[in-house]
Amino acid sequence: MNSICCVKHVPDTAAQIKVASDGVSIETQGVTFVPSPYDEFAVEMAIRLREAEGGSVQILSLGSDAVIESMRKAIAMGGDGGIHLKTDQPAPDAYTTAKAIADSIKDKGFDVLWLGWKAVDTDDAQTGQLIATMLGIPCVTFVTSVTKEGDKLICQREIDGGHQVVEVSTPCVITAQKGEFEPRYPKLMNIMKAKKKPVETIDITFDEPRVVIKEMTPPPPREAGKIVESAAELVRLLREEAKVL
Amino acid sequence: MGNVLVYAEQQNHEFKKWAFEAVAEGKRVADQLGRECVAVVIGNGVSDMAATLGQYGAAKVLVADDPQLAEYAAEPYTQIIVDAVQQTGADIVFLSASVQGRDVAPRVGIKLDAGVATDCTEFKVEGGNLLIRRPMYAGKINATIEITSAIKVATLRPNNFLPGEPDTSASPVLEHLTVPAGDVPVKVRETHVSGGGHVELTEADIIVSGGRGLGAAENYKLIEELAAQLHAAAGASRAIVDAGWVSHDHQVGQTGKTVSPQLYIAIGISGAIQHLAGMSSSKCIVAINKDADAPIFKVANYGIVGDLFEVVPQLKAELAAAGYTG
Ligand SMILES: Cc1cc2nc3c(=O)[nH]c(=O)nc-3n(C[C@H](O)[C@H](O)[C@H](O)COP(=O)(O)OP(=O)(O)OC[C@H]3O[C@@H](n4cnc5c(N)ncnc54)[C@H](O)[C@@H]3O)c2cc1C
Ligand SMILES: Nc1ncnc2c1ncn2[C@@H]1O[C@H](COP(=O)(O)O)[C@@H](O)[C@H]1O
Repeated sequence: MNSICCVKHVPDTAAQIKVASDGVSIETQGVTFVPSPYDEFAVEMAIRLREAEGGSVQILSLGSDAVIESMRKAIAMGGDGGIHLKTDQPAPDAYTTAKAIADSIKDKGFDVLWLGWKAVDTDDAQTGQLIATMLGIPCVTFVTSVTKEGDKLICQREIDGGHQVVEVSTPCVITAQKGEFEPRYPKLMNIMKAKKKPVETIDITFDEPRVVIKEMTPPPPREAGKIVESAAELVRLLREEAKVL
Repeated sequence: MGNVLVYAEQQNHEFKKWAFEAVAEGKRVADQLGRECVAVVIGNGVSDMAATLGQYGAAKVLVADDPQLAEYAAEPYTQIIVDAVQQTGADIVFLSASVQGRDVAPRVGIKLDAGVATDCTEFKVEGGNLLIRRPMYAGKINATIEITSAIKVATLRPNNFLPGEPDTSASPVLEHLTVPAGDVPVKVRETHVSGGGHVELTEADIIVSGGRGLGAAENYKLIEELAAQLHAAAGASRAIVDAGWVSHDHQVGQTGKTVSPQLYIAIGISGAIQHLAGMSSSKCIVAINKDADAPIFKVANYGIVGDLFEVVPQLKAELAAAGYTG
């Protein structure tokens, strides 16, 4: 099983996010960037599949040289090497990102292309399905675990109000939801080794975007409310004042 | 601009609540453009239910009804939605930001050379342009965006658009679509969906959530009992999901579900930024926590500072006395 895992370099979920002075992007000064959490679940599943079936796991990140930090972190989990789709321009939208990834990997002979079901910055939740549709290969989304059976992959996936077991053949795209297992912590030895793993650099350019951001604003602030003394008073306020009961 | 086409999701011959929300918003946008809202329904044995969508504003309903469509599969559903768009000359396509809607929308986008906007919370027509609001960074930012392609695809956040009162006198035109032949590369082996009485987090009007303050897995039943009493969904912080007290589908937050119910009751939850990201757009937030300095109180409309093992039983008794018995 030869896997490519897409890992996006995103603001830490604990970060406060502020709008930059241009009004259409975020302030990155002082923000810590990390691999997007669902991408780590994807990497974990890919490594487990390699441990069971052999093959390789390549980590792909698109962006400036800064993204190499998250790529190396993912390689340290047990990846065999990296693919850096290099550009100094910020990615305009999900479509252009997907197009650049699809064009760069289509001849790489992978069995599974892994992604997170969404990146926790733009929250687009599109890239996997976009790439698969561009390449004309199947895509299974919201996957929580994968095993191999004959020449099929058996995927558990989340659906609204339940779950599902599906089978798919390779090559395919799989997007990861938080699953049964936590992403492993890189061992110190692997962090050292990850620095020496080969990274292929591919220069990319973006197509015309299909979605443009016109304005970013912080959400309306919530005011702290009342401290209520008793459950009885709370029920009364919920019914009479807030009218939500 | 052309018509607005809305994919109205159903499961087991029942429309999802978010299907009505999407049709109603599709109608509102179509009205502003002087066009029509057309709905499309896909499944097996769904012809009889299709007309219901007229009550929420669909002037016409296209139906793809076939045994092969009994279970959702991305490829045929994508093809049917694409055919429906082409047949109706629609240039705005609405789906819901449910698991299914999110799965299919980008595929529809590629087939139609269309840009896709996910999890939208507001649509405005201004000077003939469609302006869209959507949260990013799990709600830490609101963005106004524009889709620049000729056809525009958007998924609508569930529980955010009001469907309004159904107009029972409406009688939409019904039309049947031909069902595409072709391989389904992803084969479903098993599907498990929670049955009757279960309320989904993303469509709940009321959510009762518990956190580490519950102290032990068995105490989560306090949350479930209170939720049942209010016909609410039961949520959780990540701390207790990671601890294995409840499954991940209950998790609210940046790496769980984003929710915006009318009422969110957080019990024994501190209010970490990742938790707040997933629930701070709730209309009314109640916090029960023994620590008066817990960050959750900064966003709560009403707070009770106290031990949840005392407060929750009192709350249940007061609600029961007020007639909330489940
Ligand atoms: C990458 C990443 C993603 C994350 N995503 C999420 C997410 O999606 N959702 C999420 O929730 N978290 C998420 N977190 C975790 C988050 O940072 C917090 O650790 C978590 O939300 C804390 O859960 P908690 O409030 O239940 O526990 P705690 O922070 O331990 O709070 C427990 C609270 O219970 C109160 N309490 C204790 N006993 C009682 C009692 N008897 N009566 C009343 N109150 C009591 C305490 O005062 C305290 O405020 C994420 C973290 C990371 C790093
Ligand atoms: N710049 C990027 N570099 C690497 N992977 C990416 C990038 N953008 C998106 N992805 C992948 O696509 C997934 C979904 O992203 P999105 O559609 O933006 O929510 C992410 O979890 C990543 O796996």
